[in-house]
Amino acid sequence: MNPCIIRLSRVAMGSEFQVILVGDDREHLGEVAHYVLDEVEALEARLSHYRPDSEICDLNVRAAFEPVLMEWSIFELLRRCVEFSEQTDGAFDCTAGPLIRCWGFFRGQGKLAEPEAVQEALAVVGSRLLELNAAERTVRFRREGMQVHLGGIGKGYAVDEAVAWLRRLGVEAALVHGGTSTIYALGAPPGQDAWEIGLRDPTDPEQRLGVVRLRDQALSTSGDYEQFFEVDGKRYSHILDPRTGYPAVGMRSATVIAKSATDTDALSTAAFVLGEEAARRLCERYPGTGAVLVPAPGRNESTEIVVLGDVDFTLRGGSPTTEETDSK
Amino acid sequence: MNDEQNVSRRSLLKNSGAAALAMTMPVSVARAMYAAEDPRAAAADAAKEAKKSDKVRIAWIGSGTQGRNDLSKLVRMPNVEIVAIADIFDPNRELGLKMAGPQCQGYSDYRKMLERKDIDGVGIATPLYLHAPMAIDVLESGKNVYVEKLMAYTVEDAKKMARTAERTGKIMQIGHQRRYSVDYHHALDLLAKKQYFGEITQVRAEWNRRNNWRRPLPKDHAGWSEKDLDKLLNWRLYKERSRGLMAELGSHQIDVSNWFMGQYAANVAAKAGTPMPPANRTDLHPVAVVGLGGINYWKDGREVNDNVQVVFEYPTGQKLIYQSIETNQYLGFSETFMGRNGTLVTSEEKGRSMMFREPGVEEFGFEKYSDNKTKSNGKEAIVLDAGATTKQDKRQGAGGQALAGSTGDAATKDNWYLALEDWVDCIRTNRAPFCDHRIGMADVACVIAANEAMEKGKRVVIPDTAFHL
Repeated sequence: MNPCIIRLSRVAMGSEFQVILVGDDREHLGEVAHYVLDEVEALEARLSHYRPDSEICDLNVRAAFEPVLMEWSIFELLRRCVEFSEQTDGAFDCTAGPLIRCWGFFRGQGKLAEPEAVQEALAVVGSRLLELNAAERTVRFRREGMQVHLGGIGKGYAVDEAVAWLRRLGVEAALVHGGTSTIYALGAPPGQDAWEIGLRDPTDPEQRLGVVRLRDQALSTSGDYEQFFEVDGKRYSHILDPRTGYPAVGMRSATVIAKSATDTDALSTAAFVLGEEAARRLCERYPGTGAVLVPAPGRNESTEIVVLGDVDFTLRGGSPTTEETDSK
Repeated sequence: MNDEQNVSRRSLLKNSGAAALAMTMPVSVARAMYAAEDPRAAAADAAKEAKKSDKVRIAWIGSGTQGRNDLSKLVRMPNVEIVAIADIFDPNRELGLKMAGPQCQGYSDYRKMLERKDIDGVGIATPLYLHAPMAIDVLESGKNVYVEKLMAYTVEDAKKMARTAERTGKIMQIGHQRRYSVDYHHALDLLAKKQYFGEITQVRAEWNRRNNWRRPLPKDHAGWSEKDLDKLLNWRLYKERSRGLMAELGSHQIDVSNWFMGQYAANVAAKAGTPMPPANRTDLHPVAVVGLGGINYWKDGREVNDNVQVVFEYPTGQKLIYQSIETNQYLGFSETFMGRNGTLVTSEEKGRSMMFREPGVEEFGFEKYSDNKTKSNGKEAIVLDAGATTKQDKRQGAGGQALAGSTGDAATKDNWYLALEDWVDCIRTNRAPFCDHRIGMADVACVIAANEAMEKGKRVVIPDTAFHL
């Protein structure tokens, strides 16, 4: 039988979440695609910051007043968030919600934040203020006003969960992505040994920066070209540095490649915030991790590309079957 | 809310007051509304309660999709321990165990699990035809039981379950989770108590989807043949195990209609001077049903209809028109109550519950304050939100209602959580469940009559005996 491809997408996890499945049984693939997207939707209902009855909202309402018991997998996800925060010196932080609100990035294009408001928000931001009790499986906030927001990791987690379902349901080749900023390549398309993923050039998003080849790997891109606002000719990216409370500067885009989409989602944000040297250290710390960085142009205005760690990257290039990505 | 009201609300929720409140709404729902108003005080009360209350030990039969949804709620409840999970399909049991944690023991035979003496309550989320034998085994082993909807495969089975619960003195709650929804209780208040919509003259309910309802089989068959595994995981499609769309989707919505219509009638009677019966004892039950259905679009060996269209007739003359299809989801899922003065739409889909006023009808009063207006089919509607609508309603002064958030936050726990929390609370305090066998039995009777009407192509009378033990 000829291989067939099923593409199905649904609005979920704040993005157009898509599964691209390759196999030889169209009917089965169709059922799988629906089923997996149902699972993603169910996960969103539990993780979303916007749904008042999600487990994360329940945590946000109660955790300042009492330890809140979490379901195992979500407790584990929060534990990983704290770990990422420690290992990225706070560049990734799941408690940065109050800052995101200050800058108007929750609903809308963003606005210049008042310095007093930023200081006020910073007082309730920081993973050190999250009290995780593994024995009791409870989470508590050390300060009132704190908010857990999984925007920087939830999409990757959902991609990983979707891929786990695909494997259980016998799918051997697939691409899964949440709005193309976080993507997992399962196996490879028929007759090829990897999926080709095109990266956008952050200095000219119409152009392709290059192609990354992935097999059983994830990729996430954080960039300042998709979501940003400008005041007096200065560009403010929507990626905030949780340590200073201000938009991160110094990078145009940071792409991270690793074994899990949860990791790439968190680490691409961290790499964007931290810059080249720290990104290099992160790639060394996490084996199997690579990165493609585009730092902001220096004095000579030329665009530089930094490739770190384990990554199969080709400048420009690509074929008609290359799937394009966008930044977060 | 002022301090005096706060104190009275809190004392009402405690001790014997909770039992009185349980007559109009489940204790868990009342607590959730109180918590939305005042999370700090609610947390303090909960912490005190948790210290003195004993751990409730729960076991579960069936950790497929619905079972895992239930487990994901239970594992978050303080002083609840999931001690055992039984499932005959190894991969599903493993997924359940992963959620429940290392203290939880797995069983392939639920009867072995029931031999344990350290289990307080057992939940059942298995194919419909197994509900009765399993629930009866649970009750006979001296444990309380939570049975996912539909309660049973036949009315006789439901009655047997109810009699066993009565004889053993154990609690049996049925999983119609909308009965534990803050939003539905809010909507019910507008329809039945405030009677904004006037006399309800017709109800429409529907659940429209676009998928074939078939679950893909996992690669790992865990020792099952393809055919047997399909019967196991796609039991919904096979007649000897399932009652089809009317049971899996329709029963939820027929239940809401029976509940709301009964409450409306009871409140009208109460205004005329008749004493009000408790909210879960007043459902209106249909007397007959006609319908058309068929297997017209998914001819894949399934034995249950892929489209159902039925009309139920209430003893007071109103009709409930119900449909569920699997080829087009344009109309989504909701229940619509049409009254002489306005229309109420309820739905589990967020943001879809709303109300409309009929042209020429005097304003209900609070609409002008609503920030939550929308247009639907060219008509102005108010989107219902248990928190926000209540706040708007309160601004008109009189008739402030005992519902949800002065903060505008709706309760943070969903219907499934509140349903299971209330079941655990029933076990802990030894009180009767809100969604009990009476409600479950009535839904079984309606589903079976609707299926019979479609099968025979004629009007089927539902005998009153179907609704009584």
